[in-house]
Amino acid sequence: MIAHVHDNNINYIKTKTGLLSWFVTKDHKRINMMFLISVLIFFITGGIYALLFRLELWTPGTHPLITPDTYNHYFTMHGVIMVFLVVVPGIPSALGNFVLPIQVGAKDLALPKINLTSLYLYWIGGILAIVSLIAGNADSGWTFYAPYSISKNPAVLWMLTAAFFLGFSSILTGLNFIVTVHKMRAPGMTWFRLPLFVWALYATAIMQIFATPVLAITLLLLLIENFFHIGIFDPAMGGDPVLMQHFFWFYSHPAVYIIVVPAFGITSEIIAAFSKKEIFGYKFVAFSSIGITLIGFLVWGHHMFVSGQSEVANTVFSFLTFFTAIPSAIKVFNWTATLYKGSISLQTPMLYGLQILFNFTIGGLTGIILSILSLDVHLHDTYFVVSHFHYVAFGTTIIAFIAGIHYWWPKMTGKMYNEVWGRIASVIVFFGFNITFFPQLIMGSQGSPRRYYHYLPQYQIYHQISTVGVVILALGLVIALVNLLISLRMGATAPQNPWGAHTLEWEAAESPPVLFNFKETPIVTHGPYAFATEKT
Amino acid sequence: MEHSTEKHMEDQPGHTYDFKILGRVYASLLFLAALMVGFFLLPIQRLPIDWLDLLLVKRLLILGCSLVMAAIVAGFLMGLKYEKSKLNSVIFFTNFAFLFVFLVFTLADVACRGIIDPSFMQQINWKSPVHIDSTADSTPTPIP
Amino acid sequence: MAATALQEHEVAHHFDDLEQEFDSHKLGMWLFVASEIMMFGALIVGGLFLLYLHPDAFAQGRPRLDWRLGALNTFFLLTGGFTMARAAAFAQKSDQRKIQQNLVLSLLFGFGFLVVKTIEYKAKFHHGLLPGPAFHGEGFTSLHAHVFFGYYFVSTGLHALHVLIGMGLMVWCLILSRKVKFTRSYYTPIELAGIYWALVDLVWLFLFPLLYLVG
Repeated sequence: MIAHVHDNNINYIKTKTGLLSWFVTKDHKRINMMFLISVLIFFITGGIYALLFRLELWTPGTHPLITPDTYNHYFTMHGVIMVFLVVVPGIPSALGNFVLPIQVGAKDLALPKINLTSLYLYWIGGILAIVSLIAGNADSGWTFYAPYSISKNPAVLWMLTAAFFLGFSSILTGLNFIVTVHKMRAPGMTWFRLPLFVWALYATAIMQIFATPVLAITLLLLLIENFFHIGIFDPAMGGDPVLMQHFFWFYSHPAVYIIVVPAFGITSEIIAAFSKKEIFGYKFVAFSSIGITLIGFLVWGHHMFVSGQSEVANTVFSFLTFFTAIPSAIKVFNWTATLYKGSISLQTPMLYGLQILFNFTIGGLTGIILSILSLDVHLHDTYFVVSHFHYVAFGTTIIAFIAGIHYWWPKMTGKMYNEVWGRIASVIVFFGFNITFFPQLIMGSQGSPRRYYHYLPQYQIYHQISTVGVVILALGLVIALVNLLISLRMGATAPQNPWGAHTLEWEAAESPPVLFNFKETPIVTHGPYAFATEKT
Repeated sequence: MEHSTEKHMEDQPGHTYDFKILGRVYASLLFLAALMVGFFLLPIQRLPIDWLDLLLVKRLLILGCSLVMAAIVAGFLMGLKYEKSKLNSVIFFTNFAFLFVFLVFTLADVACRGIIDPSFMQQINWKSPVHIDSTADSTPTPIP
Repeated sequence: MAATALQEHEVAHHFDDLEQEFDSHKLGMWLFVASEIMMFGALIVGGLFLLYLHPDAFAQGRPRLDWRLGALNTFFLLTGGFTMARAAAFAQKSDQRKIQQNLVLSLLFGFGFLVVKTIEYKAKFHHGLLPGPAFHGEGFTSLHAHVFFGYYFVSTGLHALHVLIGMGLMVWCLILSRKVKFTRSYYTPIELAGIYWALVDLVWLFLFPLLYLVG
């Protein structure tokens, strides 16, 4: 009972022409590409802010062009843009949207109009973030702690509103993914034949739906507190600023798992494909994503160890946080075990994938160090924390995002990028990233606080190494991006399955796919990593 | 794809509503609402019981009414009782599980402040940096 | 209403059949409801936190709320939920007229809720029971009475906004009932609007005791 005829014989890019047809499309593939372009633009913007304040940090003293207020503004904008506009929506909306329906064997996501709404909400949030720039200097940090964030800074107010819309964009994406995975799987696609990327996105979606609304009410209450000073967070009116932190981190801790769990999914796909081997312990990896999700809701107080939270709560949160190591470690061990005796090919996505193993090991272990209450008292709000979360948010998530873009580029665009330049870029990125953030671990453990415009001269050498690293990193990223863009014009035509993988998007869909993804509904008869095993 | 308009009842989406059951559901909800208000109006200060915290009992009874009414609304008006798959029920209960965690940990925090180190609760005389153009006091909050 | 004027529902192209479409839409609504429960639930947790911090504010503020108006509002919302369920039941019987009657009834009760809310708010404004620094109520010894009323306005205000949204969904169903034929197989919009209204009821069933009956 098709309502109107669509041509399912040409690829989705050529189906309907004209810019307007993209803006009102219901096709998940087109929505994904629009998200991808938007996320990359915001990534570059947020990155430029980082470059700017890292230049200020070259010397410990005052900078001629960047005042302290400007510096505060820059790190706030960097944080807000990167968290809410890049890493939270990034992999789910700008890769998951494309890949998930095809990997489960569906013609589209379950709720295409909701998908489009999610995109519109993202754009509204992005526009409001830009309005905030014009309205003044948002300088509260991306964490918007009260009472500073209730001092009626108009730029902060616009940012709070922007984050509100972005939150709903995230909720709708998660909602769509869960419905799709439950109701739209192709015949033969049982739960344990789903690719691990789908499991990861499913776990992420649970967090998007259950955690993000608490952010929504937090932002709403902050806005109300700014205008009406009700006395919920404002201590002068009888409120509790620590309550604000409880509200904020109840979302923001699951948010960091929303940020990193999809990256784990991509890592599983890439390690399997480029080792030509079944992921070791598939079920353990699948369930570990769900495990991280559930434990992640219990540990938010570890961001508040020195905020004035009671000692009892501190101890409980510290203890519970230790358990987050278990599912994360299961993944790292299983990826490593997958590599063992695999037929490894070091193509660009795999080079990024291997970086993730290295970076996440550091990121995860530094997280456990921070979860130890007595250590966190010294390390809280130092560069150690900054480095930890960059190792996970950048070294794991962004690297996985880039890896995923390279991995699925042939599928999404029908073009192959230049492999040599891809590899060169990934090596430069690896060194640039680690040169930037490893010194920060040392600096932080020696006591250097974060968000400081002036710092003590003893830390200058670390800051300078870090700034040099940022420049190298930026160079690597630019090369990667230019390489991809050039391939759109000059790249070789992509085959259906350039990597020899066994998930549905490679086996059953063309590069790029037709409008409804498949010429006919696929029937699934094997698991996602059914590589022929060599008997040794 | 053609659809036969004479599908068997079991093949139809959702469940068939029963008007009688709806009527009884409505009646029980009204009864529970009245009961809730009744508990509220009970003059507990007149009761000669001092070995039990009657205020707490009253509040628990009222909460109990809310929970039962919530279960009835979710079960009958939102259809949870009739669903073949338990998924929507799991979603509904997960909500309350997470909210329970949020409530317990947050209240535990504020209730346990100063338990181990009483100097934690020392009052600090400070002026809020937030400027409110009103006549409200900026004196520190008395700690409970 | 001539049967020929009503369109038959067509299943969207990406679904295999009607049942998959219904189940997907219902699951989608349930997940959205879950997000709303988390949002209001967090707000209620905040309220309980404030109740713990300032029991005196709640004890002194609560008597200024009229429990009878609150109970009346509870009655309005519950009845609206009942008529929404009846609307869905009649949709299954393809009785377009009864569907519309029950939708209109639900709208009326929703409207009644908002009227009572307005009356309550006006009374608060009149007595100076306002949020934050604007508070100038009389007869309070608690230093934080404004916190109770601030929380009252935020929570009931946000809830009232959702009542409005629910009423919007009912209007949408009314419009649909003039264009689309509802049957036992297809009654999804009314079912989903009913679930949303039930959510609005659910939130009130916790907000009403917290504000009007406890403290």
